[in-house]
Amino acid sequence: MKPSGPDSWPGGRALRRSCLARAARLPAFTLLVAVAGCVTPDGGVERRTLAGLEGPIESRLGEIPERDRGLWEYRLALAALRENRPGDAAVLLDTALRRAEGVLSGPDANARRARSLFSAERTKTYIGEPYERAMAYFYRGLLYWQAGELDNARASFRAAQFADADADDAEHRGDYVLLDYLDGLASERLGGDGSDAIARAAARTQRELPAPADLGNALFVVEFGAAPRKVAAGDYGEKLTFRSGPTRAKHAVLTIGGHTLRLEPWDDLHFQATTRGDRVMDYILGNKAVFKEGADAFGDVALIGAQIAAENIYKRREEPRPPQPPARREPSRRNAGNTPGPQEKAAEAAPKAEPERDRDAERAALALGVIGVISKIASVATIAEADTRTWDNLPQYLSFGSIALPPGEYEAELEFLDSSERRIGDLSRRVLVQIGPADRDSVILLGEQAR
Amino acid sequence: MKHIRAATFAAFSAVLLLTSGCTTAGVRNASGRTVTDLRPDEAGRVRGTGPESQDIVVVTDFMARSILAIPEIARAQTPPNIVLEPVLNNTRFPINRDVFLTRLRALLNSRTENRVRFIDRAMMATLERERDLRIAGAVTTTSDPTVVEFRGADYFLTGELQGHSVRADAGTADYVLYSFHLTNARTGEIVWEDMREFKKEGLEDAAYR
Repeated sequence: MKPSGPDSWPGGRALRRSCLARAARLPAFTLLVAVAGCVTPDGGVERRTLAGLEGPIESRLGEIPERDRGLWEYRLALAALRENRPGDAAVLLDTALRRAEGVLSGPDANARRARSLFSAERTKTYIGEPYERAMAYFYRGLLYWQAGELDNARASFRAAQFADADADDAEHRGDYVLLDYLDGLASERLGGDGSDAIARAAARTQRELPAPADLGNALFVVEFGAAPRKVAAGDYGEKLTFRSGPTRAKHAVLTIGGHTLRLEPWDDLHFQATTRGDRVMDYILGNKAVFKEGADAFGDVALIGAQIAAENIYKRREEPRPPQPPARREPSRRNAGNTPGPQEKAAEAAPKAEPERDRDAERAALALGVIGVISKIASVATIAEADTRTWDNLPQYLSFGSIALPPGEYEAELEFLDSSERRIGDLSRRVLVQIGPADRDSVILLGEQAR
Repeated sequence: MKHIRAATFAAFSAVLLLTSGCTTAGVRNASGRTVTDLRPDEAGRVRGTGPESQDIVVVTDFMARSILAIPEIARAQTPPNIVLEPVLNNTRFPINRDVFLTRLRALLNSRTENRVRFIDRAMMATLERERDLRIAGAVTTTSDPTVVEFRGADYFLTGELQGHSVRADAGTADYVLYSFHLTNARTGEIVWEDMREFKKEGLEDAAYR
């Protein structure tokens, strides 16, 4: 009896090889289909920076996926604040912060998905790293202060400091100098006792902080340097790291109304971003990376095993076989050609053993191949990359100063100096400053960046 | 053919395995949720550890009952005049402070048959302008506009929110104390004070920790 299956056909061996190749190709194709359906193509508006967009983005917020909207609200709020549109900035910050508080207050479906093997961390709703959330509260606090709501300004500064309260290292928890200082200053302005908060601020800096009683009605918050950038490091991009700089400006000098105010950095956002310590999400991404690496290695082993097994089979087939005597097919009298008798069975058993063994080996090779391909696909589909969505129009340094100025419009000179105290000409500029009624403070945000 | 079937089966298994990582199956409310009407005194699905609507309702209901029970209000021969002073927020939660006093005033005005009177100091500038128009004869008047009729305060009602927050690996806990007091406008005595306090805690998803 001839062996059944593709090997028994003309060109059967080639077909079998082709089947193996198809089996390997089909999952790869399905991978493409499956992945194409669930990834977000790069180059969408959510991947772009504020500087790279033309025209007003506010009207296009609805086009941005909900998970990225918080990022754009932060960016646009700061741009609005710098363009002296406090109403727009307040609305955008309130929306973003309410979303962040809602997400932080309990289970979140997007966050759960971000933890799964086959979804990227960036699928979670963006609320920002603690230093970004702290800055959102900080700017909201400045807006409350400008509006005369000092207690809500103080609440915002406290919320900002609280956002920084989960650092690994106790000494880096809630360690913004300016936030504690403004908390204390607000309490003093409200007629309360802010000395405790101001003492906390003083303990975190070697600089001598001005006494609240010495401050005037014009409060200047001056920012310089570029925001820390998030970079995915590690073999699979599973490690979230931060890069900053180069930052040329190290100090600023503001000349206004006959006064000169030297502004040193009070807080460094790069320091704040890098002193959080390990995130729980870092462990999750680390586990994803281990799985990805393991599945890849397992796939390699399985595919190599399949290849070796297949080569052995083909090698054995191609070896010349000793000639077999043709089986006698003499039907017994009793069975008259219908059922083979014991003699026929014995005669057919000997030549059938070799192809049976080959078929088992082939099945094993095919199974190894399929397992290998599935493992490779699982490895490719596992996304361990850290979320690098960054609030990129933040500054690096925050500074503060105050002087007493009568209400009115002033032309001021804002100069930025490098570490050698040299004036940086392309950053320095003249600015118009509006000082409001004397019964409340005027909060003025100045900095390197125009938006 | 068996091998082709096996390979196809394996490929479909791979598809299932892959798509299980990215489909919306098992995701709650994938299509969103329609707007739901809630009572303001009940906690909804969207929560926070700071002041929420149910806290505002509970606090103001409690304060309204408490104020009405004191002898200075309950046994007053004539309804006392009360001026509201802004509530002071001393927590880490920026809030709309006016909501407490607005609800408290509305409760007392609508449900107590005028046992107290509130003086509208927010309207003072408008009222003075109107009086000046009457004195100038620019508008009609039913009484002598030169006689001062603006009422002075018998009591000032105000409040304060104090907070204490803790953040640890186990989550975030927030304690908020709501206290309100009534101060005699002539003597400065605090004739009534009461408080409610709430503590809430929550733990964010590991993806944000």
